[in-house]
Amino acid sequence: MPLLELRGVSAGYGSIQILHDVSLQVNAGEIVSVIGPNGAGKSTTFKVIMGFITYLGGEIVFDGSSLVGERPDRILARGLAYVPQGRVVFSQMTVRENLEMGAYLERDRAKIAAAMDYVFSIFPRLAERARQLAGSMSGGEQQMLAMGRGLMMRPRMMMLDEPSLGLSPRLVDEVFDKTVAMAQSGLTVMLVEQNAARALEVSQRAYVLELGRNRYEGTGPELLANPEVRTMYLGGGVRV
Amino acid sequence: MRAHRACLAIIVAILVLGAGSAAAKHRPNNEVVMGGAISQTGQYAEPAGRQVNSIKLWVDEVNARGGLLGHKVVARLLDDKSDTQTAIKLYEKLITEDKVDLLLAPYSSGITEAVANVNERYKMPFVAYGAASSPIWEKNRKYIFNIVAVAEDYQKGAVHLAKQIGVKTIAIIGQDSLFPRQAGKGAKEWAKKLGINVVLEENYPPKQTDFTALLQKIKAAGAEGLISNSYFADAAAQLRQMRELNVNFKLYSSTVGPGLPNFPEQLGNTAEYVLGFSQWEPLPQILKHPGMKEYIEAYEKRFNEKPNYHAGGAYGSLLVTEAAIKKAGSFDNEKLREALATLDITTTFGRYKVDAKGMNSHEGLTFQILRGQRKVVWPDKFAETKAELPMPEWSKR
Amino acid sequence: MEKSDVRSLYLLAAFLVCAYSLPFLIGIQFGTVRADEQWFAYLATVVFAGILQGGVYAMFAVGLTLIFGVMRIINAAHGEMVMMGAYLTWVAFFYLGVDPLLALVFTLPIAFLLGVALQKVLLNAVVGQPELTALLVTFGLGLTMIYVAELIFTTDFRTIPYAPQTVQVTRTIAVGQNKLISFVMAVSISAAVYLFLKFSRLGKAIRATALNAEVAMVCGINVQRIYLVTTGIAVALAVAGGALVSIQFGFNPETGVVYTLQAFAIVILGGRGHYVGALIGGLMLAVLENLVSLMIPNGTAAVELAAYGLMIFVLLIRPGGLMGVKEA
Repeated sequence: MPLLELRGVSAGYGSIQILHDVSLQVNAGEIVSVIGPNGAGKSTTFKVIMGFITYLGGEIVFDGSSLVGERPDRILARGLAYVPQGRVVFSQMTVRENLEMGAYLERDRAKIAAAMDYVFSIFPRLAERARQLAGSMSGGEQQMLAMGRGLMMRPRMMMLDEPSLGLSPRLVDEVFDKTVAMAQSGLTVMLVEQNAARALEVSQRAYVLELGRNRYEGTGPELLANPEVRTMYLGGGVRV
Repeated sequence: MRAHRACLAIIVAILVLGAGSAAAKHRPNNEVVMGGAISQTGQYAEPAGRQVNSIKLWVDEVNARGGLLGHKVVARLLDDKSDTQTAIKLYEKLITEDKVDLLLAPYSSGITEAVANVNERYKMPFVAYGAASSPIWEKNRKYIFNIVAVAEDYQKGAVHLAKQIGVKTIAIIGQDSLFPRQAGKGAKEWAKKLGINVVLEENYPPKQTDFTALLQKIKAAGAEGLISNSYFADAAAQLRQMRELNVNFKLYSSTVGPGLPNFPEQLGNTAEYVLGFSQWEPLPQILKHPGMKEYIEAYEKRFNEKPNYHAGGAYGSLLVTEAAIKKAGSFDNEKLREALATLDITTTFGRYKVDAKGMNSHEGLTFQILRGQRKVVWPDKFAETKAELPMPEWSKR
Repeated sequence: MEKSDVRSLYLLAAFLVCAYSLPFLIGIQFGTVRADEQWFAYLATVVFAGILQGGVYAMFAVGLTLIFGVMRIINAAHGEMVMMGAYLTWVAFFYLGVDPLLALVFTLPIAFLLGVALQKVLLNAVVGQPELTALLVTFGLGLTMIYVAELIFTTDFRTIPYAPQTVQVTRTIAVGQNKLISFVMAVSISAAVYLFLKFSRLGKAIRATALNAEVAMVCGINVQRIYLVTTGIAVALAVAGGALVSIQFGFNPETGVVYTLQAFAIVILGGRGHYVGALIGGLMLAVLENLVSLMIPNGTAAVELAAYGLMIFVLLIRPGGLMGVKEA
């Protein structure tokens, strides 16, 4: 049974429908990416799961029960974390405070401390900068912080929206390395990415969305090998 | 040509007759309505409320003695909330919608000045009892008369007392509105006449509540006495803050605040030795005006306090109006105006005889709050007791 | 700090030096400034009184900046809430015989609940709407509050005689005990709110919501509840401010307007959402007002002019305010 499953989900902003009948599955332990051109509805998929936009139909099931109509804090409490795109951190709060906010629902101080140690073990840089204001860090560090904050509730699954957006190639590598590291420690990851090539490299499986509909699906290597996918989404397949 | 002139004469005659009959527009049940907007709430509520008392008292009394020219008098009192714009609207309403037969005056110089434009336009006369600023009567108005002493004389006694105790420097402050400005102007003139140096003059906005810096400024200017052209709230704030800051003057005089019965009540000990001005005091044995004793007794019986000058002035002006209507023999606006302009009568408030501008030359009193009581201390001929000046310092009270 | 930021700070410093010297220069022109010891005593008294007043102003500003920071709602009814606090205290004092400061024990919880109700009934509808919508709604609320207060209490000035004794702070500086008490209360309450926001779990969640409501939601913070708590605290702060006003000055239903404007000026001066900035802004504004009043002839009338002049120039030079940072 998949950990997260979307069956024929339709959604939109107000009366404008963005997702049409989208279906996808994420199994426990996998890294699954969702790729596609701009406006394909990739980020919208996350937003409908979190309940931020108008849900029009279909089924969203996490760990055997529906997420439809659930409040964001309940979704997080059930073990599904979401890291929005754009390196969103609380800029006027320290790194430590940001991480504490990630564990807002946890009242057990010992568990919060353990979660923080865990995050610091994956992102040692955050430990060095614990007292620094988040807004004063580099873009890459802010992205790491946002991911680390998503880990604070020790979720079973994390939804990462465009983690490499606007980062230098070196930092893009680092972000993907950290994503793999998180997955190796048992986290299920669903990834939305513009940088399709890198995403497919680290993913077990992937979905291609186009204009809010399912277009292709398959394993990372399968899609990387698909000539149509290569020309349309991988910049002509120059690099593999 | 001739025909035209005849036509015109007829039209004029109709208009005049029409106006005449409109002026005698009594209600079916033989009532005359006397209307006014008086501050029953707001910063002027204290003094104006006491005028309302006198109005109610007079209405009952005049009806008991047969009304005005045989008509029962009904008072229609609205509340202008101490606001000029509201007062203007209410007087427009009273005249045009309610079609009252006679007007009652509003309270405060500022509001009276504004309302004077309204009643002038509709040619309805009244005797002002809550306005003491002479500029109101310097605009060739024909339908407004005055009964009280003018603002310029409010601080006359205080400045004379300052001279008596050897004060050489005073500061004159006041709220930035018509009446306090006039009172300040008068105080300055009296100081000049008596050779006292005015070291500081300042007006503050009507909403001012913090006088800390101003009090320091007055001390810095070297004033020995403080002449404050103030109402209740500002005078109270000044005295409280003088005490808080331990700022001492040999003499402090306020135009309106100390004359209100609850001033010493609310301020307690802090109000002691303060000088104030009174148009009139309920002292029949000293002032000796006709009917005073009876009026004071009736007022006290009904309202459980002695009338203050605001009450006295309103009552006096109503007696003047009553006499003028009797003299005019009609409620006609023009005839009433004529009667008010020529009448010479002494009421409970003193003599009423106006000059060409419509102003009465009323003589006021200066009192001091001593042991919680207002005691007349100036002029000498009316003094109940000798002024206790200079004021003792706060630290010695 | 960026270069342009540093430059605007220098420019602001230069402007403030001018603004504070101006009353002295005008005073020297008119001879109201003297160089003797006695005059310095008056100056010291006025500056000290300004500092005390500034602490109370700062508390108004903290309440205003809190609601704005979290919900982007400009609360034009803040002064009316101060006025409501003054009346609550007055009623407690005159009708129930409760000490004005002790009254806070029950007026603050009442105020908090009123704030929660206000948020549920009115403000939730305008969160996320354009700022003008919220401004108009709170402006209307303020007018309604004035009208209701006039109906209940009339427009008469009220005051509570409380601790009027003189305290001799130094040999030359004397001040009313009520002013000293008000300052201590205002600063302690503001500090308590500051510490709460800085260190408590809920306080941090309020700050997080102010910084980014969507991410706060993602963190599991119930943003709707944060809005309720925020408005509750802001109204409680205003009511506490009202209690302090009532023991120092006369007040009537229209008094609030003055306090709203002062709070605006301080928030702009100190920087939106900045609490230390609010304290500094409050002190600066009150001291400047007193200096103008002390030294400029007929300066009492010029005080408001000085306050708004200060506000406008600070806005022009440094839109983020004294301690403000550029918004992300």
